[in-house]
Amino acid sequence: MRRLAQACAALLALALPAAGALAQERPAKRPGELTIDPQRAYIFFRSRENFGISFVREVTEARRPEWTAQRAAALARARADYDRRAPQWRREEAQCRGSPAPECANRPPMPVMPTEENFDYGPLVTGDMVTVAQWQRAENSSASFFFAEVEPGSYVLYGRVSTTPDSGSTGVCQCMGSVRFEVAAGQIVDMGELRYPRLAAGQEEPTFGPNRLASMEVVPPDPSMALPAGFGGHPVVPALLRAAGKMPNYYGIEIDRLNAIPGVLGYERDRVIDLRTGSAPAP
Amino acid sequence: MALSRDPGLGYEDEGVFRGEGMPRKLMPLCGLAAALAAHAPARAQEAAIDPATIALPNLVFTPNEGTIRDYGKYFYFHRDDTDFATAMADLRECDGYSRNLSFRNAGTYANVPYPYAGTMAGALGGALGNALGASIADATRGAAERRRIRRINLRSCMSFKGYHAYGLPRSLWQDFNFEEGNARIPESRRQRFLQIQARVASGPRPTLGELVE
Repeated sequence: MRRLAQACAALLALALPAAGALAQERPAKRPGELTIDPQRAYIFFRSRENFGISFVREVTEARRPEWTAQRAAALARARADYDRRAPQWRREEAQCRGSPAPECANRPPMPVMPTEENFDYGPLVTGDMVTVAQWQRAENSSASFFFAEVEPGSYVLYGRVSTTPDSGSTGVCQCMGSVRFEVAAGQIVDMGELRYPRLAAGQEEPTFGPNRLASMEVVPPDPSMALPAGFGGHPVVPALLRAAGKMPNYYGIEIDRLNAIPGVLGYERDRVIDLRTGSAPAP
Repeated sequence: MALSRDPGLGYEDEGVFRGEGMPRKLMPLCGLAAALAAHAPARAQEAAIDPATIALPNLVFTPNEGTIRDYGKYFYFHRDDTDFATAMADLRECDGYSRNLSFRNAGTYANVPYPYAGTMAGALGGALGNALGASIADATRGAAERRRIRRINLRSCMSFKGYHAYGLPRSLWQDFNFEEGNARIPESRRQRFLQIQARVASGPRPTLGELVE
């Protein structure tokens, strides 16, 4: 099991560029080279572990008209693909009837017609899954700074994910409870520190009782937290963290949820509670 | 963020895209493909299920060292004061998080040995050998890892919901549960098993095998 964990860690390291291929962020700039584009936004945090962290850029009301038009075009393409595939599937099914051929023993399912109601258009398709990777080591500390330039918008912390063509996706998504925050144009937004309690305790697998350790924890930004020298005089805005509800397991990986955060994120059983309002988070 | 109807985006029996029949090499794309996939029509039929028509499976056994050791693999759920429909919805949600798992074991690459290295036949033989080796490796270690992650996801999800897990001997467990390492079970069978699990989860509190952590 330890070997498997080590292999996964190696795959994670190998996979970061691959995961980044889906992301929208530009490569992080080297220390001393930082320039802030007033049209772009910047996510920043700290961590002692070198995992690429995925965020979902949300479809906000401002983005919705553009997203809706793109979804309609994608649905039309999927429908055209279905119109090609369905007759082919029926022909092959008829040919396979009663045949012992190996290719007939493991037939794919009958395609389902994509419709307005059933068509899903998620962040992996739209390029709204963003990976933030390690930027530089912090001075006099074992922590590292993570930094990436992104589209302005609202982001939800998805989890640590890596994907390679050979090994599929590995990691842990915070699919059952996480946080969101806004990143405005021209801003560096500091979301604090990411910690990995389970990893820190040397647990390879989660436990399921009241003393369960989360795979990931967000410590909200604090003025005492170190900032990279490379930020120079650029103002850094603390992230206004808010609770975010459940998300799909897009990558087919292990699931978890963030530790509760006082005043921000709580749970009633599996129900996510926005502690700023006392109710369920906005969808 | 809108939550899809199935948190795992898995519609293997109905969807345009699915893992079964797809080479494991393409599994990394499952999430992407599934996100594109046409979702199945809403499963409205569950409202009509009468739990009284679902027989409780046999949960009576005499624990021994072997069965107790395997409780972590073969378990079922129960929560007090829970009705069948709620248990069914909870199990479906957690099953959704636990299906179409992506991990695959690619195996170890082996160079084509001399004197065949550099020839087309050697390259082809090496490629076939690697493909076969990778396939075998995935069928064993990859499948075991997918089964492990499925167990974690089910237990995480159901424990967040307040359900307790109880161990069973494999011989009883497999009457209403399933694993998914290499093969996927047909959707109709999956739903039938989930119904029985919901019947158990909302039924009398078990007296044996609770997993306490």
